[in-house]
Amino acid sequence: MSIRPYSTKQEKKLTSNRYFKKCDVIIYFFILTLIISIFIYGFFSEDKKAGSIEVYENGKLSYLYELQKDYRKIKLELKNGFEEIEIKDNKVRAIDADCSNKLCIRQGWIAQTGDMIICIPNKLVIKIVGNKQEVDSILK
Amino acid sequence: MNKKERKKIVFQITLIIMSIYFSFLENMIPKPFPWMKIGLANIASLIGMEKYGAVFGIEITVLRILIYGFMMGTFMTPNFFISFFSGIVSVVIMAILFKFKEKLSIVAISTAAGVVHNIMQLIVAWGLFFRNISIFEKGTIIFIEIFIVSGTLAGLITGVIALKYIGKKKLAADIHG
Repeated sequence: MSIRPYSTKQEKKLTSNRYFKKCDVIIYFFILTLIISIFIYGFFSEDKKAGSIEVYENGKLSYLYELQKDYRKIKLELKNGFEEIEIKDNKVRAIDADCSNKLCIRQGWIAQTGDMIICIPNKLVIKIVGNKQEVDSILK
Repeated sequence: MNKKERKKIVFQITLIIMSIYFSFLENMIPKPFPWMKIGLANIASLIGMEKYGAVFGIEITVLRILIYGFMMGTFMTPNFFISFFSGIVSVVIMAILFKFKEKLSIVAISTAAGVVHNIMQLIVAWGLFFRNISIFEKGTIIFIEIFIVSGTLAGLITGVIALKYIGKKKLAADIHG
């Protein structure tokens, strides 16, 4: 196939032989807008669906609170005592309680779905539900 | 007309075998993700479409997917369905765009088909496996991005390769009459 009656310039002028025709821009434009729009959407959308906490007293649900970014202090009146909890930055912790060992306070902030603060003397369980989960489970 | 028809059928069979070979070859290339393929098998569809029309190309793709599915024993598996539906939709898009053959280069047709193929793969895989995962989280968005970009690159590469072949073939046809 070394017979070449055309020069390469003439070869390029054969109709369907071109790599780029004018209306190609339409298709490339569509594809590019698709890529860029998804990129912008992913890059700039920061909505974190905050979860809520469920407070169980003696196994039964007694309170529900929404987690929020702002600071909020709640005093939970329980049957045999009280518990003060703080909500801040979608996390919750216990501040004050009337149990003897204060283990619930020592546990500190909880943030992930499924984490719990438990106070056994008060028979209290504070559990986080519905938060956006980052990992499935953590082996500690 | 028998000789012409025979020539056409032989050409089609050759292209189908070539695309099966390409699929097999692509299966063996090391890839960062299993679905990040270059879709070299579509070169055969493009070449067939260029020479004998859109339906010719569609037949090549459909038969290639079916035969490859039988060969590899994946015939009714979920992966096969993903590949089948995305392949069909992408080749139909190729055929539709082929009507505007004067105004669109083969490279652009191939790129569009590549993007559509990958997006369809995502849609079918989501419909089959991932109905419960929300698509609006950052992780899935990154995933979708990678899919779309790799689809366009794959389409570009296959389009360029197909066009190079078509160009040489046309030159040879013009020389030899």
